[in-house]
Amino acid sequence: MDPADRFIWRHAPRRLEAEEIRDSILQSSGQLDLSHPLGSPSMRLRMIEMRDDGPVVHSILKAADRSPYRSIYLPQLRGEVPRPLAAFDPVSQTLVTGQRDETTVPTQALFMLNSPFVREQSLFLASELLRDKRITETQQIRSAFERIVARDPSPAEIAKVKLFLGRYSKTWKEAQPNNGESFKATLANVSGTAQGRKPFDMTDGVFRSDNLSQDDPDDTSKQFADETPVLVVPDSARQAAWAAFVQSLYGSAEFQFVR
Amino acid sequence: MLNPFTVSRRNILRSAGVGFGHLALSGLLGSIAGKAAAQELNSNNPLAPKRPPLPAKAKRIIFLFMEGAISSVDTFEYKPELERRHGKSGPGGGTLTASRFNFKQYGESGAYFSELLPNIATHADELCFMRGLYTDTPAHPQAVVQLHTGSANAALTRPSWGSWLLYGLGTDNQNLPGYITINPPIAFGGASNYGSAFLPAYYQGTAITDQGFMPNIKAATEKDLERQQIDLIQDFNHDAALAPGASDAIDGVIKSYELGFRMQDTVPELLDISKEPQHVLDAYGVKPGQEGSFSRQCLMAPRLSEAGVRFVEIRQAGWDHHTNLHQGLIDQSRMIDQPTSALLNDLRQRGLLEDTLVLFGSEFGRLPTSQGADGRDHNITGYAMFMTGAGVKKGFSYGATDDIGMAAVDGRMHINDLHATLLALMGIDHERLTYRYEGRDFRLTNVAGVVQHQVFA
Repeated sequence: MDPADRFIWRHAPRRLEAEEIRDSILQSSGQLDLSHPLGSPSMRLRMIEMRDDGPVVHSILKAADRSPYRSIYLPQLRGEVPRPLAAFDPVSQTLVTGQRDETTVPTQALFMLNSPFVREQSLFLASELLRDKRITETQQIRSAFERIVARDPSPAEIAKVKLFLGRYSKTWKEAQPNNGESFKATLANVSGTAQGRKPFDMTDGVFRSDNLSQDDPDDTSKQFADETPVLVVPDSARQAAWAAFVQSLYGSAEFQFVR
Repeated sequence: MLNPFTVSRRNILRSAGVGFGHLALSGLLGSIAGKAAAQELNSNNPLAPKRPPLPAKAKRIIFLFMEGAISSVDTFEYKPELERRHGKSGPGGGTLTASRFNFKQYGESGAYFSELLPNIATHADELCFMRGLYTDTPAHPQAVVQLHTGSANAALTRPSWGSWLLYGLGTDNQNLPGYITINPPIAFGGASNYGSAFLPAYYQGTAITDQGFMPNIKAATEKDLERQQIDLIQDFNHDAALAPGASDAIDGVIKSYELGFRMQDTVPELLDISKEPQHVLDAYGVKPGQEGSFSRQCLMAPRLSEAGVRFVEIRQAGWDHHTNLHQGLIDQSRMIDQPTSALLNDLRQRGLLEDTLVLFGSEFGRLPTSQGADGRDHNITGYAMFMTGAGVKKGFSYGATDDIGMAAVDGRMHINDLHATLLALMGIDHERLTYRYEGRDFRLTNVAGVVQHQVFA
C-alpha cells in the first residue's frame, strides 16, 4: 500500500542520510554539541584555488573529523567531503540535488567497521556505559539499546549480547601482543561529555594556503597520504568488548534505517 | 520487485516468512569466514557469475572515460576538407577551424592520428573506431548521465550500464566488487553514473580514488575479533529484515558486510601499485599527483580486470576545451597517451585482450568550428570513440562524420546503439535484459538501440 509515500500516515522505511547518521552517532555517544559553533574551519581560507591533495584540504578534513557540532556546520569544500559523511551518499557540492541517492555498498560496511570516527564514538559510549558501577550488565545493555536504537532489547537479545561480550573479551585478551608494548585508550579528539567541554577554536590547525604555484603539478613535497592512522585502542578486554558491541549496534541496519 | 533469475525461490522464501538474506546467514552465523564464503557461493547469490544467453565475445569491459569531450578532429579524426575550408563559415554559423596538429597514418590499416597521441597510434591496427556516434543533449550533466545510464531523463535515474552488466552476468570474483569505478565523476550526475537506481543495491559500482585508496579498507582489529563483531551485526540485521515493513535494502546491508569483510584482504593488494617493478612504472609513465592520475588508474585497471572485475571504469577529466584548446589538448594528451598505450600492451601480454573489451571515449564531441580565439564548443551530432579487444574487428573503422567532422552521416550510432552493441559483445540481448519497476519492464537501451554487428569480428 502506498509505496510512493503519497499519504502521510506512514512512510516506507528509509535509510538515514549521511548527516543524520553522523549526528545520531554523536548524540548517542554523548559527544554531540548542539550549540552553534563560532565560525567554521574554512573561515581562514584564502580565496584562491587550492590543490585537492595538499595541506590546506588535509587540514580542513582533519578539522571536520574533530568537530563535535552538528553535521550541517561541517566545512564542505567543493569536491572534498568530510570523512564521516563520505560513505552514506552525501551530496555533491557542485550540484543541486533534489533527491539523494540511497546506495548500499560495502564501503558503508567498511566505514562502520573500520573508520576512526565510528570506533572512537563507540569507545566513548562504551566508557560512559561502564562508568556507573552500580548498575547491572543487563541494565547497561538496555541503556545501550535505548540510546542507539531507541527501544528495549528482548531477553533473547540480552542473552545474545552477553554471550558476545564474554567471547569477545576472551578473544581480545588472547590476541594482545606480549612484547611489552603498553597501550592506553587514545581518544584522539576530546574526552568527557559535550556539556563539560569548552568551545574550541574551529580554525585551529587549518592552513591558509598551499603556498604553491598553481602550475606546479610535479611538486610532490606537499602531498599528503590519504590516511594517517588514528589509533583507537581500548584499555581493557571489557572495554574492548563493550566498544565492539556498541559499534555493532551502530553498524546494524536497524540503526541506519528509520521506519 | 521481481528478479527473473531467482523469482520462484525468493517468493517461496518470502512467503515462508524468512528473508532472502537468511540463506546466506545460516551458513555464516557462528562459523569461520572460509566456510561462510563457500556456503554463500552455493546459496542464492545474485552476484554469482551467470552464463551469457548469447555467445559472448567479451567477458569484461574497461572503459577509459575522457570526461569533458575530447576533440576528435584534433586527435584521431583526420579531416583534410576542414583544412581546405579553414576560415570559411561553417554550416549553421561559426568559423571552420582546422586542427593545429599534424596528422600521420599508422600501421597497415593507415588510421590517422595526430601528433598528440603517438603512443596510442602504435596500436592503430588493433583498434576498432566508431566514427558515427551521436547523442541527445549538449550539456555535460545530461550527456554524461546518458552515456552511463542510457537516458538523460533527470526525472527518473536509471541504473548505470555496469549495474546492468552485473545484473545480467554477475561477477567472477566474489571477493571483489564486480563493478569498480576509479576516480568517478564528482559532478555531472555523480553517483548516478555508477549507481544501480531501481536495480537491487548490490549491483552498484564501488568508487576508488586514483591513489588506489578506498577509505576504511584496512581492518581495524584482528580477524577473529572482527568476525565475531560482524556475526553480531548480521544477527541484528537478520532480525531487522524479518520485522514487518522492513526495508528491502537490508538484504543489501547483509551482503555488504560479507563483501566488505573479504575486500579487506583482496582490495589493498590489487590496488597497491607501489610494489610494481620500476620498469612497469616507467612503461605506464607513473607520476605522483594530478599529472600522474590517469597513469595510476591505467596501472590499476588491468589488475582489477584480471582479478575478475566485470566492469572497470577509469576517468580523465578536463577535456572541455571551450578555451585553451591548443595547450589544453597538449597537456591532457600527455597525461593519457603513454598510460593508455601501456594499458593496451599490458592487457595483450597477459592474454586479457582475448576476452576483455576496452572502450575509449567521451560523452559527446567538439565542433570543427571555433569558439573564441582558442576553443571548440560541444558537438552532439557526430563524434568518434574507439574500442579494442574481445570480439571487435581490428584496424577497422565503422561509420563516419561528414568531411568537415561535424555530423555523423554514415554508420550512425546513438548512445543506445552503443549500449546495445556493448551488451551484445558481452553476450546479452539488450531487449531481453529487463527489470520490472513500477509496472514497466525497463532496460538499458530504453526503447531503442540497434546492435551494430558491423563491428563484430
